[in-house]
This record gives sequence, structure tokens and C-alpha cells, in this order.
Amino acid sequence: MNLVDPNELDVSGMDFIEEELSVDDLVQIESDDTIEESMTLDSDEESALEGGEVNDVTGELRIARGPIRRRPPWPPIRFRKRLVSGCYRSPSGNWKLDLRVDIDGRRPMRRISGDYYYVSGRTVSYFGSFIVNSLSIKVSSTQVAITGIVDTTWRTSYNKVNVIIPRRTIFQPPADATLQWMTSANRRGSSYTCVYKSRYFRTVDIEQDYEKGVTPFTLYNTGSLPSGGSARTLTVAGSYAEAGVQMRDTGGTNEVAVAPGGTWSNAELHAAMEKRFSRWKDLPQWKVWLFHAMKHDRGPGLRGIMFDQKGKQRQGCATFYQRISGTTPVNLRDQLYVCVHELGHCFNLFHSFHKRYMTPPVPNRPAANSWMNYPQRFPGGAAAFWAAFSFQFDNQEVVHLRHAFRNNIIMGGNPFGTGASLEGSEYLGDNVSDDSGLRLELETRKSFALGEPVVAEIKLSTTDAYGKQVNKHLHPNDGSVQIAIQQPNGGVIVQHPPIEHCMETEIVTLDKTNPSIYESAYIGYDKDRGLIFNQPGIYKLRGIYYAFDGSIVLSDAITLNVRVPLTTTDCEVADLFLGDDQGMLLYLLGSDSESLRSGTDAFDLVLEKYSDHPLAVYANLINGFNASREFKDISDDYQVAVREPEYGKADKLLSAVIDASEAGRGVDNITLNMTMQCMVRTEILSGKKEKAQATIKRMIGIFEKKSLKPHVMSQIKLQAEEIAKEI
Amino acid sequence: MVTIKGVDVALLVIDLQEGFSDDTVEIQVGEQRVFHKEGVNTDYAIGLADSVGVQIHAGFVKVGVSVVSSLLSESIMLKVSTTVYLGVSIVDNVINFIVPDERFLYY
Repeated sequence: MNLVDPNELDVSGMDFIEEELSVDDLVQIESDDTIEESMTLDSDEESALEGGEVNDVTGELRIARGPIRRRPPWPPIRFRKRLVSGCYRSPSGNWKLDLRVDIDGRRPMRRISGDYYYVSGRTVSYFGSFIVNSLSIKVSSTQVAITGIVDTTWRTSYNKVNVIIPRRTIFQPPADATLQWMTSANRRGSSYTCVYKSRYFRTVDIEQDYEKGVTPFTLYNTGSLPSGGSARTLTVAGSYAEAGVQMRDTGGTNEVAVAPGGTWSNAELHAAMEKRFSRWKDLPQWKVWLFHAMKHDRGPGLRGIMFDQKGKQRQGCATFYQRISGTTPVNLRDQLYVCVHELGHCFNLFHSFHKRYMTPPVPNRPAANSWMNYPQRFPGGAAAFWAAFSFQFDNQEVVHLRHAFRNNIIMGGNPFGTGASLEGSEYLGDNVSDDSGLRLELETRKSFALGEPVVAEIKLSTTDAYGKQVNKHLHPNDGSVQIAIQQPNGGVIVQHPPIEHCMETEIVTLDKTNPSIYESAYIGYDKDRGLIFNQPGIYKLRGIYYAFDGSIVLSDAITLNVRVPLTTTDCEVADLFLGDDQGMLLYLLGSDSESLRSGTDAFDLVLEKYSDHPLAVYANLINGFNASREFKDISDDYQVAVREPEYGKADKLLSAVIDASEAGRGVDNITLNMTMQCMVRTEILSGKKEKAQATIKRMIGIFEKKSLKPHVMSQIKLQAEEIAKEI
Repeated sequence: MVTIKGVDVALLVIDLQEGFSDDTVEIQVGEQRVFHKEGVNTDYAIGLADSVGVQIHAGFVKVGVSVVSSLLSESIMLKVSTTVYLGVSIVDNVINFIVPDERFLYY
């Protein structure tokens, strides 16, 4: 009886099978039908022996003296066929597929899975993963055909795949696998031809360091003590190889000084990892660090820990040798066990008896014959565990290791425990690679009051020594930049400005003299969803720039906090800012439109009743900009009525913005620059030339005090010179 | 066990293990409150949330655990003559106790 899943066949006899199974063995195990014997010989030499000839197309032997006999009196010479399981990769195109076929070999899990990557220009980004859990396999002497219904991380109407892999002998190179997407009505979608890459399903680079005084584990003979399974010499890499994962040691093993105070805390381990793990990056990658240390702060009861639960998690783990150092079989067994166990956590595996605490949860498996079980928690205790343990992962864990959706397993992917049970979803992930020569940065303040407009500063720079041509227009209005925002409830939206401007592309060259361009944008309003930052909490933002060569350049993700209003006044002002009309007015920098009247009235009330409140600066801003320009309105009888600019009003309102900003209580630098230029123009147009000159001088003075980068300051001075020409 | 001024003193180690999620926990040993903490969370990388060691007189002692945030409360009577380990978990909204023969190991 299968004690794990009542719906599954009892395959407990297959739990530990050392030999490799071919697809023929697999089909035979499941069915009493004999496989039709192949009459095809693959070698011309065999045809020479037979006195016949081989058809080059079908491989069929034709014997000169008569028709082909179906059953010759002597056993046909059969060359062993290659296994078809392993990892395949599609070589080119916009979509790259890593395909994993798992139907023969050692412990076949009868699954197919894959990861898609989108190639755009010189950037490659992860798109999504799929898995086929229930396969129909047809085997002939010439090919293996696999069909099944697919679970994908993205929505698609193509929910079926068909994979064809020609069979080859061991003397021939491996064949390509062709994957065909289909709908449930068998309508064909795209197909991918994937070249065989490896017999392993995953490959991870492992770097190991050790504390001075610790002799790191190397190998253990499982026959040294009673155990389940066959006796064999196991290393950490060998243990994972049995599960289908290739662990490549980077060879960069270094000795680390003894822990301060003699023991390691989790924080110290994490800091050591960031310093000593030469491959460490704050990115998902198939790389992991194993640290062999002596003692943890928690004492001798802690034998190992996956300590990396900060930022991009699961990139490092540690084994503590305080009670298990030495070369006795028990110690070596414990060392192997702890190393493999902790690395298992890095692959996002939970303990066998903690599976119900994963997201999403699955039933606990306290009797699991698995690296992820605790010996003392096994039924019958540690002695029973070790007597039964075959030094392996259980079947569900092997399926996870081989076929989990990429972000649920890759180090630095989903947090520990999320998607640890073959499910997960994908938002905006890091690029797998970025050779675009560009760098996009997004910056905002860390904290905003509820209702306060969120303005992001967007900076595009080049990392290419030869310079890069880019689109000058970085505002999300203009289409080459988008901002993705994750709200506190976890939902992710890509902000769509209410009005998209079809701007003519203006090319600028970023190089040493002009390394970057900037833009600031109000991103608090979306044309479909309205106000975005309308609730307190933590938001995550990421910028996306679409380069000329098709590269998709991503900024680092940043966070900002929208604070809970503390006072009654804060609540009242927040209410006055949180409205669709207000969002639109902030986006437009004011309007006379009657359809936005409620927003205009709200901002007027802010200025009337809460003029000293910090958020009043934004009401001054939009009213000031609106007053500085004329407004054309079309009446019911199609006449155009023009409201003339109100320079005096604009001057007063914009001055309040500049004063507040100079005192550090106002708007960001780019908005301030824009405001001051607007004020200068207002003064020029109202005939106050001397005042305009004074404002230009004041503008330079304010920005000179801000320690801006030289090329930015040069830009501002250039702008000032241009405006001064209008005087 | 240690004898101090003629009195046998033993060590009681209480491990808060699985099932704790931002909980406020209090532990009473005998008449004394030995542990009170908010924000107790199980780290499922090792299956341990927190731990407290208490020196007590050898003999019988009542250990009471309250998970204030979940309104759960349970107690156990222990015979303590040498170092005793007590594991406390919350499973299906019930406080469970485990008393192993030797120290808990965590990986």
C-alpha cells in the first residue's frame, strides 16, 4: 500500500533501483504486452553478414535471396539504445527552451518539464515554466513519443504537448527532441527542436569554504554501517547526481578564520557568504555556497542550517562539525547527511515532517526514506531510520529537484517555502543575462505620506565604453519606459499613463561626456486602475526600458513605504488627495476641466484649510502650473473660450513650491527644476524681466548647493542659458 | 545534575519548535515565569522558533505554556533529575509536548 498518496500506484518496490531503466523496461513494467521486436538493424556491417542490404531510409534489412523473415532462427543482434532522458535545449530564436525529459534512466519520474526564456536584443529574461505530470508514452524501435496535459506558469490555450525523440544506439550521437504544443482539440501551436545537452536535469555550481580547524567532508561508504539501499561510496555531488542534479564544484575552496567568539550567528554566516562566496550575487542563479564550520550560536544541538533567508534567499548553507568531526563511519555518515540535507533546503525542500507548512502546503511524510527527514523523527527512531535509509530523496522531492518551476527551486528565486511544492507564479523576474550595455535606475524617496504623489526619478546610463545610442524620452508617457509596481496585497501592475504620447524618437548618445539622462515621472495614476498608491504599506517598483536593439533593460527593484496617517489632519488631507480626479489633475499638472471639478475643489480646500500641511506643496504645484498657462475650452456651441494665463497667481503659487523645496520640504529635484523654469517663463511673459533674471540666478544657486553630478549641473546651466535668451 | 549547597539542581531546556507564527508565548515553570516573547516564529529551515534553559530543583515540576495570541494553553508535569529536554509545538491549534531521551537535534 502506498503510504504517501492513495491515488498513486504502489511503486515502493521501485523506490531504490540502482540500475538504469530503458523506456522498453518502463513500458514492460507497466504492461504485459511484449514489445514488437524490431527487425531493423542499424549497422551496414550486419547487412553484410546477412548477405543483404540495408535501406538507408528505414534501416530495413533486405536479404537478397528472399523476403524478410519476421523471426529469424537466431537472435537478432541488438545494439543498446541510448537513454532519452536528460536536458535538451532549443538553440536559437526569440524563445529559448530548456526541456527536461524524465522517462528512463535511474529512478525515472515519468515527467516532462521545461523553462522558457525570452531573448530580446541582448537581454535574456525568464518567462515561465511548465510540467507534464501524467504522460502517455509510445515506444517503438525508432522513436519515443510522449504526450500529456501541461501545467504552465502562464495562461495559454495550448495545454498539451507532444514530444518526439528518435531512438539512437549508444554508438550514435543523441537525437534532438521535438516538442509540439497543441490545444485540447489537437490544434497545433509552435514547435521547438531541442538539442540534447546533458543527462542531468539541472546543473548547479557549488563553492565550499571551511572554517580553520574543520576538515570538510569528502566521501562516505554507505556500506560501512547498516543501511537500506546498496553499498556505494557517496560524495555530496554523487548524492545529488543520483537525484539527477549535477553539482559542479567550482574548486574555489578557501579556509576562513575561526568565528568571532568561537560560534557563528545566522547574521555572521550571511555576511561571510556575501564576502567569501565568490559567485554570490543578489540574483537568482544556479550557484550555492556550502560552509563547513565548527559551532553555531545555538549550540551543539544545531548540526546544520540553511541560514540564507534574507533578500534573494537559499544561496548558502552551513554544516557544524562540533559533534560530528572525525573519520569514524558514524561521523562521516552524519557529515554527508547534514551537507546533503542543508543543500536540500537551498533547493527549497522542506523537512519531510514539515511539508504542511510550505506554500502551498502538502501532506507531511514522516516516514519518508529521505535526506530531508530527521532520523530521530522517523517511526521507530534514529536506529530504525538509519537501518532503512537508502541515502536518497523521496520521489516527490526528486520530482521537485528535476522538474519544479524554475523560480521555485533556483537559488535566489522564491523565498524558502514558497513554491516548494511544485507550484508557483511568475512576476517580473531578473534578466538571466544582460549584454545591452545600458543600465536603468529607478529612484524615489523611501517613504511617502498616504495621498502624497509618488514621483520616480528615472536614470538611463551606459556601461559600454564605446557609448550607446538611446531614446532621449524616458517618461512613461512616451512609451520607451514602463514602471511595474507591486502593491502591498501582492498584486503587480504595469503603470499605464492616462495619455500616451506618440513622440518622435530623439536619439542621444550616452558616453563619457554625457553618461546618463534623467527624467522624473508622476507614477501614481494608471489609466485603467486609477490611483495606485492608495493604501498604506510596502510597494516594490521596477523600471523597464525598451532599447533600440530590442533589449529589455530592467532596473533593480526598489521599495517604498506609504505611511499610515498618524493624525486627524493627516487623514483629512489624505482623503482630499485620494480621488480619481485628483490623480488625473496631478498627472496633467492641473486643469480647468469641469469633469475634474471635484479634484480641483479638493486641492483648493487643501490650500484654504491646510496650507501649512506638507502635502499642500503639491496643491500649490498643480494650481501654479495650471495658472501659468492658458486653457482652451470648447463650449456647447463649439466656440472656443480661452482662459488667459494668470501670471500673478502662478508666480505666487510656484514661489511657495520653490520656497518649500529649498527648505527641504518640497518636491524632487527634477520637478523643482521644471517648476523654476516655468516660473521664469511666467515672469518673462508678464514683463518682469529683472525678476526672471533673479529667478534664473536663484535656480543655479539652489542646484549648486545640492552637489549634483557635474554633467547634470552643466545641463541645468545650459537650460538656464537657453531660457535667459528669451528675456 | 549539579548539587549546589546540598540541593540537587537540574537543567530544563524548553524548545519552541513548529507551528509558531508571529505568536506571543509565555512559559511558566513551577511558579516562575521564565519566558515571555512576542513575535515568535518557527524557522522551518531547522524547525525551531526559540529556546530557553532553566535551572530547577530536581523533582517534579509543572511546565505551563501559553500561546497568548492564539488563546492556547497547556501544561505538563515533568520529573526532572538530570538535564531534561521538552519540545513544544502547535499542531492543528493544539499545543503538543515531546520529551525525548536526549537533546533535540536540528538540521
